[in-house]
Amino acid sequence: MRTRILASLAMAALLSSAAMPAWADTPKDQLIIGLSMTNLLTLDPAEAVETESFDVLNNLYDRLIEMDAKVPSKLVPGLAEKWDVAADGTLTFTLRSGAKFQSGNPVTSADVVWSLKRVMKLNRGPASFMREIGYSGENLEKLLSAPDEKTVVLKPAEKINPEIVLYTLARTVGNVVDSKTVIGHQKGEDLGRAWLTNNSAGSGPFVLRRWSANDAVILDRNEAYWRGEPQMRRVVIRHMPESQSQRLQIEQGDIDVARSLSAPDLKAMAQNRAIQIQKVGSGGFYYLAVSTADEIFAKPAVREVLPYLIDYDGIGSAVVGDYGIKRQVPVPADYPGAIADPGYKLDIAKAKDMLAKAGYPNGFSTSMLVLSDSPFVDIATAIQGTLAQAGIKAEIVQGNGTQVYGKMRDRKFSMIVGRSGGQMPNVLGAIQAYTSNFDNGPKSTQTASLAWRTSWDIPELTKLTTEARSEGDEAKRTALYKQIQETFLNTAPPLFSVAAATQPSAIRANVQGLTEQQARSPYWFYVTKSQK
Amino acid sequence: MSAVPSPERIERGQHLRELAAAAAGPLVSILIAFVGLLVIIFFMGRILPIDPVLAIVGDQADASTYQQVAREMGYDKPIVQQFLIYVRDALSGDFGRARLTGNLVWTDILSVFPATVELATAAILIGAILGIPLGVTAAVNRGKPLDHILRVVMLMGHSAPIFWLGLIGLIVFYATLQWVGGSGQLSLYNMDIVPRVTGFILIDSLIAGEVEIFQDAVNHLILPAGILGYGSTAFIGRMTRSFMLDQLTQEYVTAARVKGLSRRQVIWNHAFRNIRVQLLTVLALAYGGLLEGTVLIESVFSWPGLGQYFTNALLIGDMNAVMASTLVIGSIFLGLNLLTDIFYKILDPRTR
Repeated sequence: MRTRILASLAMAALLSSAAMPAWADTPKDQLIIGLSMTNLLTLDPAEAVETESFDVLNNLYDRLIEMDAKVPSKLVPGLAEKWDVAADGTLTFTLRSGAKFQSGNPVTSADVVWSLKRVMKLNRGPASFMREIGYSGENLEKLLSAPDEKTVVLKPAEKINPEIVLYTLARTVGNVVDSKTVIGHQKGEDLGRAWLTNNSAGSGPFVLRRWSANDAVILDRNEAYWRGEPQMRRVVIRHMPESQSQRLQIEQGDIDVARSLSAPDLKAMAQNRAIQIQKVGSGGFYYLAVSTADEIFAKPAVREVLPYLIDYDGIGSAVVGDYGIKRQVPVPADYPGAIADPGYKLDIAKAKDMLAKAGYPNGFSTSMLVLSDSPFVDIATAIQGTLAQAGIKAEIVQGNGTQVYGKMRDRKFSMIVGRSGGQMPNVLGAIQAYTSNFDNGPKSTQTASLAWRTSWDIPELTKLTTEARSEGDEAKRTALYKQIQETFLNTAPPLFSVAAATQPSAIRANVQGLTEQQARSPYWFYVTKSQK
Repeated sequence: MSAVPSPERIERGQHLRELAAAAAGPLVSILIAFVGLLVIIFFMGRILPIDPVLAIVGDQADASTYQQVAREMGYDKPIVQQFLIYVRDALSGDFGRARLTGNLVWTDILSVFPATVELATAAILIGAILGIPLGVTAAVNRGKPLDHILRVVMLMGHSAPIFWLGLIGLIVFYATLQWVGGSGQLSLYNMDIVPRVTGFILIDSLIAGEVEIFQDAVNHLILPAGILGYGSTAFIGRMTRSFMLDQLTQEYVTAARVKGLSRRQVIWNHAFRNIRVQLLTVLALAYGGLLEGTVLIESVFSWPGLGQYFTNALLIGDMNAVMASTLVIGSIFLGLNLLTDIFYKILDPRTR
């Protein structure tokens, strides 16, 4: 009897709490975001290399100059209220007054210099972006200086279009950290790396309150932000690895933004009027790469067949969905100077004919490495199907990022379906990974170059790309851009752009100021919410 | 106080010594198992086709960065030396920092483990409270319609994919009926309010006197715990049924019935008493399984527990975190084994 009473009491307690309504809309002054944080490994701007970290860092830190939220190719003042470009390419930045770090320390030119040097000294992922434009830990000591508290001077390390340097500084690598605070948390020689991994010391619109891995990142607004106080009191990002859970919660209004939805879930919500779908061009591309070190793909005649064995239309419309747009040149179609698609179409008969002439009338067997994520696997499966129609049997091998790109960096693969990242919003930023390979030997330092990874020896294209980097005259540069793209397509490349990669998000209709943003990392400062 | 201890004292002393002896045997095997774990984990980490350096520096890094980080992580040293450093650190309890968070691995595990324990404990309670009576009922009604119905229900719990059940549960009870909370341990607006004392939200919210947050936590716990609990109910129920069937066909049961004892007395006081020890093993195994094997449900419900931590660590090749998590899971099993052994001695006089 006694147990029965206890049981019914327990049951009653459970039911009464279950009946409590817990589903109000998200608060008006909080932005709640669902995101898969599997790749969020650090919040140190000198170490972060993943989109997920960039999203958060963009709102914790400021840069000297920023890419405009709506038109990312436009550079706008950040911590620097103005900047001058001298004839020799020297950049002089004048800092604005009144910008303060979250600690209350004023932002000075010394912080800017210290932050950039810190990136090079730590030499993690972001340092590569600085080396790409000629800087090293040693030469930066001489080339970067702070003549007074409000002025930063950066001299060029090589003959380079200053725009490229400016774009680089507008990326995560250019985030300015509070040198006094970080030095205070230094452990040994780590320049505050351990502390900055999950603390913030920026001057941005938000301050990191808490980050617990696999759970949540919580940001509080920075009331002293120099642009003004942000409308959102808190930004809460919850780790939601499952697309379906994210979809359920955004449909319910429990989250405002869903950042990691699968293509089918996005499609299912297209008709939902409470939800807007935002697509941001990433400047990167889904590509099919073949290794020219592979016995079969070493033959240009074989590589020339491949564009006729990719169903660009099918992949563009049915496979990538909101994650991409059909495109056959690895430069987004809307960038100034981008050339039109060459018009490749799936043509099995033609491909078979070409394969026969190349010496493979019955096709061949090979393998295709692919990331085990959507839409990579779906693209690979589609390509596998059309290759098979011409007798090419490609076995799909799935792996995670470190496995697939690890093999690619070791240059040990036959085929890979992957994605490139745009470095800056112009033709060069999109295509240079495909067209620059200074040293095709195994000891090359240019291991991020896709041309190097496919062992594609292209002295002429590399020379053109370098010329475009240093060309100061806009008309001449545009002509070079055109030449690079055409030469790329005409020299039997081992890299085939399948679709321009876009980053889709689902956003509740009552969230304003986010949907129209086109920059790769969101600016939550501009977000407001209306009662629905 | 007399110099000669009373007979009861002697007996109690013996009893304690026996218990200690019972515990010592398993302790030695635990130590051996630990060493084995250490070796296996290290070499597994080297065999896995994951490049931990690449996980840190990213796909776009150039050779200079890559080599520096590899050097910092000690990957340039000969493998034997790496192994020795690893054993030395592990023996001194230093498992290093997790790459995933930059925290000490133990700090991380202490912060994620309570979430898993809460979930697993709720699930095993549901499993035991429902599973044992259901199993006994099914056994007693063997072959009758009730038995068939219960067996189908239990079979479903055992065979339906947890992942699928989780999603369906969310659609029905969260999205449509709105009876329970969505994903996570708490509603987002309740996060970060209760100060962390034990790490268990249910306890910490009560300590802080935040009844609403406690209710919110219960709301979020019900569905994932219920789904995991259904799985354990099925397992425990099926095992209980088969143990009971064994007992009910024994002669002593018939004898007891002939003696005129009530059906209820025979079932619970005689037959059930005899399966307690076996059931304990089943419960311990089920609980251990829940503590380590909740990865899928943790993903569906965005539950910040050990399962997700471990999986993520494995995906990025964070061997410090993998190693510590594996040790925790390994020690849970060894600990549960030890506990079961001790309970055996208490419950079953023949093993004393």
